[in-house]
Amino acid sequence: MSNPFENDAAPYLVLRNHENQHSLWPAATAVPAGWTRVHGEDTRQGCLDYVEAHWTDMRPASLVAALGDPRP
Amino acid sequence: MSQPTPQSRIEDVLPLSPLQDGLLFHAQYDENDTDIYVAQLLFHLSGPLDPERLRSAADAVLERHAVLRAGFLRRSNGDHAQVVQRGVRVPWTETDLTDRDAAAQRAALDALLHDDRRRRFDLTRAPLLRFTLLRTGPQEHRLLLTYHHILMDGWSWPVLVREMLTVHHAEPGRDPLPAVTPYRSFLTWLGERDREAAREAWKRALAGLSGGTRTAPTAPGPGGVLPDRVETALAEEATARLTALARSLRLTPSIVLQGLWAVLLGQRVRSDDVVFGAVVSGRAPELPGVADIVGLLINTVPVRVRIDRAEPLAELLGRLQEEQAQLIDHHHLGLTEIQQLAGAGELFDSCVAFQNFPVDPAGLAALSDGELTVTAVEPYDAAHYPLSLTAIPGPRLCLQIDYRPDVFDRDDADALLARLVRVLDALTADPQLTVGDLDTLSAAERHRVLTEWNDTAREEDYAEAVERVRAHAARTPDAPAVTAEGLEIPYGELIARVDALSSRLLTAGVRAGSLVAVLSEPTVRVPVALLGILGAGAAYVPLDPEGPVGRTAGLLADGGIGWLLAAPDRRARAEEIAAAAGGTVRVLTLDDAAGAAERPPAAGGRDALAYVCFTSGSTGKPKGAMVHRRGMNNHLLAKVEDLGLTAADSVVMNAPLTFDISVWQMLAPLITGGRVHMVSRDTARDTQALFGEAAREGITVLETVPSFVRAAVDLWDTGAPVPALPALRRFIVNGEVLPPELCARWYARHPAAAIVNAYGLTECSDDNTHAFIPHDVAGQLDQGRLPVGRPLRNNRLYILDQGLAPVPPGVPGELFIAGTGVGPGYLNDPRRTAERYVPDPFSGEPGARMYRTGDLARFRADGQLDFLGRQDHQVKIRGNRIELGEVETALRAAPGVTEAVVAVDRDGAGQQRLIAYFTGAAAPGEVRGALAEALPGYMVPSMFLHLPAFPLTTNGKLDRKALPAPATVAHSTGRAPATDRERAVCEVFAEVLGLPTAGLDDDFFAHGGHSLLASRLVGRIRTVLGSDIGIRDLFATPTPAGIAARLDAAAPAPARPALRPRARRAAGA
Repeated sequence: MSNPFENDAAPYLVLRNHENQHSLWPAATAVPAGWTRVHGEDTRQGCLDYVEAHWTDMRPASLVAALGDPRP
Repeated sequence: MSQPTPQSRIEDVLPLSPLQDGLLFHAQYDENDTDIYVAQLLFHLSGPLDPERLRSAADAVLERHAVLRAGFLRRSNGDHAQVVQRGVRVPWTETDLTDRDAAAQRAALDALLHDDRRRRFDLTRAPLLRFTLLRTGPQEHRLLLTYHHILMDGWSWPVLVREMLTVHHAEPGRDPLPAVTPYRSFLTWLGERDREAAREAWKRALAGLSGGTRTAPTAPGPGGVLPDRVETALAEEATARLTALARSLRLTPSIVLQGLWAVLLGQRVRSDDVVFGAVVSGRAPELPGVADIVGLLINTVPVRVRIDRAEPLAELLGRLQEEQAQLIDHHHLGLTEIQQLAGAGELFDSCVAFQNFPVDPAGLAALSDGELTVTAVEPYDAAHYPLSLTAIPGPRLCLQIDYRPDVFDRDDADALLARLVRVLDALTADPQLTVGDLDTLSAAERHRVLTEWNDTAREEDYAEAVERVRAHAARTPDAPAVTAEGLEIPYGELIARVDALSSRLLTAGVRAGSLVAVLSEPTVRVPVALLGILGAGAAYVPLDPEGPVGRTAGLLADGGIGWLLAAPDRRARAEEIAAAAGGTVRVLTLDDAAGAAERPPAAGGRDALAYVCFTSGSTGKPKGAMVHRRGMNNHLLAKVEDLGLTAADSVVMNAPLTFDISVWQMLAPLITGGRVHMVSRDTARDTQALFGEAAREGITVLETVPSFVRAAVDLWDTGAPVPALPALRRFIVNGEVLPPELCARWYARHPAAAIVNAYGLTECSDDNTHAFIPHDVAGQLDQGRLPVGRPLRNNRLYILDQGLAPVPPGVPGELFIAGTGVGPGYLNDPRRTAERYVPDPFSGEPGARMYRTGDLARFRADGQLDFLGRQDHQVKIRGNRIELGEVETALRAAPGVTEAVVAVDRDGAGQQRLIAYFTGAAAPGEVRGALAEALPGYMVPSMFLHLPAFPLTTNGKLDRKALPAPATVAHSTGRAPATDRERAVCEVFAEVLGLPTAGLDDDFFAHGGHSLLASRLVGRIRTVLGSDIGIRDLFATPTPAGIAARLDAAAPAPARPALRPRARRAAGA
């Protein structure tokens, strides 16, 4: 049984939305509305490494903007 | 083979074909039950018929085909044999129905068919067939042939009927039939096959198969259950398109059907390697006269199909046909032998047959050379498989699904058939479509599963929890808000203390978005802490008050948690934790100050964090699930609405603080003007104590886990007093699968306390579904399960396949949760967040996310959710979410442990528990000690078993199934009891732990004891010895010697306090 998010042999993308939230996404599946490809195709590990390196402030972008301050 | 003597009634003794053996097994399985292999053929005969001549013709045919005169006996060596007898006449009955109208005739016929089919044959006594001739008109008859399937297959009866009619038409005294090809010649041919080559071929075909394919959601009961049938016929054009497609791709129609069945099976069982059975004719063309043999030549063989979602259907079918062609010469091998070769247990429980014998008018006409003709035939036969697909060719291809009504329901079978037709259509429209592209949902089904059942959109009604509480404080300042035994904080005081805390936090430097951990026993201070933190715009992070210092410090450091608010009696431990976390954590004391210089400004906002709950993580590190305020707000409102909470309600707070359910238990009553009643951890884990306190306190809403309910009703069943709970109106269970019998046992005691089965994910703001379980528990069962219900307000549920497409109702898939409840992610863990919180392709809102639960679930026909289990190694023990990987990581880190594995089993009382197996030099007690240092109590296994080495499978992997059962490893040691009291205590210990005996020094927790068993033990000691000991006593001295000593020391046990009004006094100090 292969889970679409757990297949080490399949190619993946990294998607990002307007809140700067990042997600792993199987490359074989259409990219949902509101999401942009920011990395990939790449291996699962490669995509997760990208996420770890680039998604450094996990707060939603709108919340950061509303707070108007750096991290608490 | 024995030598029959001339005068013997025995003509011949023959071995059985493999399938005959199989059928005999099923026929003998339960000789009092319906034999599903009693088959019927109802022939419509038209033309001049002489009943006497037809009966003689039947006798002649019986005489001609020895196999029809066989009975089945066991030889002295245990093998079965078919014994052919001489001089057997057909049992023959005649009935005249001509005096009835057509409707009455059909009714009489149906009744006859029904009763006749349930009349078993004695398989030892020939003949295993009978005829019933029914006259329905001057030139119209129905001839019913009832036979045991062991005698012959579907290819045989056209031969038999043709021969009967030929004899009927022939001049008397003349044998018009050519020489017979006996069944024996087939058995001889069978004996000459190259079995070794066949074994090799099947071994190759099934190599690497990890297991069989089971479609039945529950194991079908033994014995015979006649199947029900759903059927449909393709339109002529659709049939023609299919025939043309098969021809153009050089495929047999049978392969097309098998391939698509495999795809549907794969979807159903979520596997890309499936097996089902196929009926093969067994009539090898090289056997002379094979077409005219009457007997059971067919066989059932496995068809294994590997599914690649990216492969075009045309290629899958071509590949399947090639693979199957390699096996044609080996169809003779028996299924039992093939299954043994595969070594994967029972290979399949569904079966596909393509009927190639004539049932169309042309084929039937060819059966007769005279004036009496067969105009129609109605076959009634069955297989023992829970699911069988039969295709009957014709101008309109007919498709039938037979299903066991005790396993599948009609809607399910209908939907499966409709899906088969849809994928057939899709294939003929575009054979290059890939498996993954196949849409098996109808438009109506898609609408139902995505839209109709998720129609939960409601006004968000967002407000800060503190402001809701403040509103009640303004209206009813003296109403009790938070209580504990003997303590009460009214609303006015609560909000004053909350404001004071918020102000203090802000003064100390806490800012919007800060994370503030709380270290406290579950006292009245905790709701103050939670609200005070929210009021400061920060997020609440509950900690395990007894959690290991190292683990707690680690999660504070990893999570970047800068503040630790500690109850006064936890201050020292808090300092210790802060030091271990590396000095970045500032410790504050959670005091009881009330009244602020000024009211802190309202803080928060819907996207701000409300709280962070840490759960077990598979890689050995806990994960902090963040929940935002709109998620919490929505869940609280859902609880208020679904439970009908009002200011009159009293909710008990008995959940461990680290459980997210503790949040609603505190806040849902407080935002409604009701009361939350806090209980100690000792009370919360002792069933008698908790229900006793609930009774005294007039609790109206109580939530717990099913294993706690089991512990309670087990005690009540063994004589413990049942508390009266007249005020309790809602009883919520969550965290584990809810066994139906528990509900019935609960309702027998507490009919007014309605059960709500709740299901949810910490990551998705706590509960996401509620199911209301009525008193008619059995009426709620589907495949033996109780539902977990429908999505809460503003929550949506998707059940998706491996291609992230919604699956049809009834079909299992992975559950995804979308909507307001989906939290922001895991604290400081972008990696794990990105894997689990993923884009929601079904939302109308661009950029929305859904949470991938890892849970298998299915939709019921009414839209309620059924939870089916986990896809990974996460388990729930007494409601606690535990990743076995985290426990194993901790075990391997313990000194003296080389290898470690953790398994789950059930103790004597049926409760799940963790068992640790390890190798290495360490002693079990040392490993337990090391784990208690490293993990929270609920994650420490109940038993530690040292093994010299782990059992391995042939390919060198850990063989989990071969791990020894704890009962075979654990044994009692130490002193035997000396006094009556010690003996009695030892007996209770043994009974509760499920051990044959217990010694005086046997440690309860080293012998599989855990918190719920502790509750049971304490309850049993109260019942059996009439002595009152507390659960705390057991934790302090967990041996029979220790307990007996405490009983000896205690004064005669005082009577439990009777129910009395709660003595209220103002809370203070």
